[in-house]
Amino acid sequence: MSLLSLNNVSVAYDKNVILKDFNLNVEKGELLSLLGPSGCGKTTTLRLIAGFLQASGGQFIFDGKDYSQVPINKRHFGFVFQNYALFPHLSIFENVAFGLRQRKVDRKEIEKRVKHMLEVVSLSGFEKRFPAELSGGQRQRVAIARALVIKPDLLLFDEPLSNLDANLRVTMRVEIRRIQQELGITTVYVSHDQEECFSISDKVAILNKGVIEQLDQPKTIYKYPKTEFVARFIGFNNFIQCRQREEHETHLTFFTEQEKFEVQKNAGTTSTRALKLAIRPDNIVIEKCRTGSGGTPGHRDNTLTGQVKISTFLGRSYQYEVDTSLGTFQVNREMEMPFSTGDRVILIFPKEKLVLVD
Amino acid sequence: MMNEKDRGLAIFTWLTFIVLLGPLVIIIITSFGADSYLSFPPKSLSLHWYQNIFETEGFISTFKTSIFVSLIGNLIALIIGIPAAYALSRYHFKGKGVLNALFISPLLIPGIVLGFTMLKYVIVTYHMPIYTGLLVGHSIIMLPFVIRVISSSLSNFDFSIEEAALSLGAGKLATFFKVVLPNIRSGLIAAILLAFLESFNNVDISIFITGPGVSTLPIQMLQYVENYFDPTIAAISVLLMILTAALMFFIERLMGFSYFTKK
Repeated sequence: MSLLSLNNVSVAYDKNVILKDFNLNVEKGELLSLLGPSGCGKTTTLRLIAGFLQASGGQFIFDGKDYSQVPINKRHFGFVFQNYALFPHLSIFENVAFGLRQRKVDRKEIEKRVKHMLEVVSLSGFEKRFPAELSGGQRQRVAIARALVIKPDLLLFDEPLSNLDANLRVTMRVEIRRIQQELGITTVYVSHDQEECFSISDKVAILNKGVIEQLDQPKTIYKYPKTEFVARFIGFNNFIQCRQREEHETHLTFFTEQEKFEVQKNAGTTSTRALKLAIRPDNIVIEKCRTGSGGTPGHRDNTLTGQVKISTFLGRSYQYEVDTSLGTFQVNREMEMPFSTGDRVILIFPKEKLVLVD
Repeated sequence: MMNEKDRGLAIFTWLTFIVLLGPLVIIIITSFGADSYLSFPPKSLSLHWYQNIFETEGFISTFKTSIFVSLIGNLIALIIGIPAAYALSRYHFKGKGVLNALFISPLLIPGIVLGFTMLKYVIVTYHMPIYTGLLVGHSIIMLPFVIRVISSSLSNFDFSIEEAALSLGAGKLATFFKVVLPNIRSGLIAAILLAFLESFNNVDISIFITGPGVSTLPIQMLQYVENYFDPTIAAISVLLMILTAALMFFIERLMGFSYFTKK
């Protein structure tokens, strides 16, 4: 059984429904990220778990017990805030010791555990300083130490790195992952940064308008998005709407009005109803249209002819917007002799790179 | 070198100081005069009128009453005002604007109206003892100061800190006393001081409520001036100035005035 389960939970502010019949399960010891654009309900979910807000319906089960009515201060969860939320009037030592003092832990024990935790976050020697004297990264590490020192049953992160600069973000997320694994503590992590979520999580849940679109391992989501929203969110910018499908042993065939696409069966093609294909701009092959020989190229499967509309230099590669009979496609390509606007090209869609989305 | 414009500004500044502080200087000097009427400059010097304060019946006892009423009234205003300010800053609810206006209203209603109303409809109708009446009246006039100052203090307060304390296991009450209050300390002290001064100097409400046997210092001073025109009042004023200055000095030493300006 899962350590944490939200069963058919609903949350509404006034008349704004944020979550409706929302379900989520988190297994013991894993780091699960909630990822999505702002307003998708990820922070609401986290605050609900923390107890900062009450669900209007549904059930929150933690460790086999109903936690719906358990007050915040009895939940024993660690929460790390986006703006750190350190106590400005207390020293770093007292900030970290706060949770232990509430639990009436013995003085010597407090000293030992705070010292140890400050070592874990590499802030030994900062005990007597005050939050205002620390940099953003140091403050966030104090916040993490403060949440961890109480040995919480669950650790909750609310966009903890979004106020830090880019380099520090990378260092800190490695740190967070290291500490989380070292202590084996179940964690729910909220972010709108994909790279951050993918790099530290065991599982990622992608949220859209209060619904989990897909919950999987980062690699699976990255390669095989299940819905159009997820596909778009992680950079599958090209879609082909088909009208018909045929199932074969090793592959599927899709038909549009005039074109035919073969798709190799893989983890991304399990949907039995879907008629929409998606592909990353990096995976489309672009070639110069040879009008002379070989007949009309458009008649080959998995290809489309088109005309380059916009050509943008991205540094590592070129990005082309290509107009075709099925709409505009975005293609990234490294090449010495780039195409220019107006060139006739063929787009080839490799059958192993196409995925199927709802 | 100072140009003409700067010189003009300097003169203006000094004039302002003289207008503001001049009367105080005159009062200080006249308080040491030996004559039995207020005169400036005094012909000869004496400490007689200072002695008179302590010998005249009423000044010391009304001073005690004033201090008592201001301190206890302050406490009542804080007990009502802090939770009110907290709720007004922390939560959104229906009728918040009305409630806010209601709490501030004693500032807008003339003291005389408030005092008269208290006398006619509370003191007389319910036979309220004078002390109680004074406490109620003074608490009411102190309340807007407490709520205003503490609200502005709380508007700078990051309530996620409160959530942090709760998530670390502190109960609501503990969170308030250990996390919220220490972080609005400057506002709290400012509120106490402002409210105290407002109450201690109050005449318009006290004059309706005070009665036989119980009076506050400003009322006593007013009555004294009606009967005598000697420098005793000047002497009291000087003592009150010293008291206020000492209080300010003490606070400055304790936490610095910068405490009031920074958040």
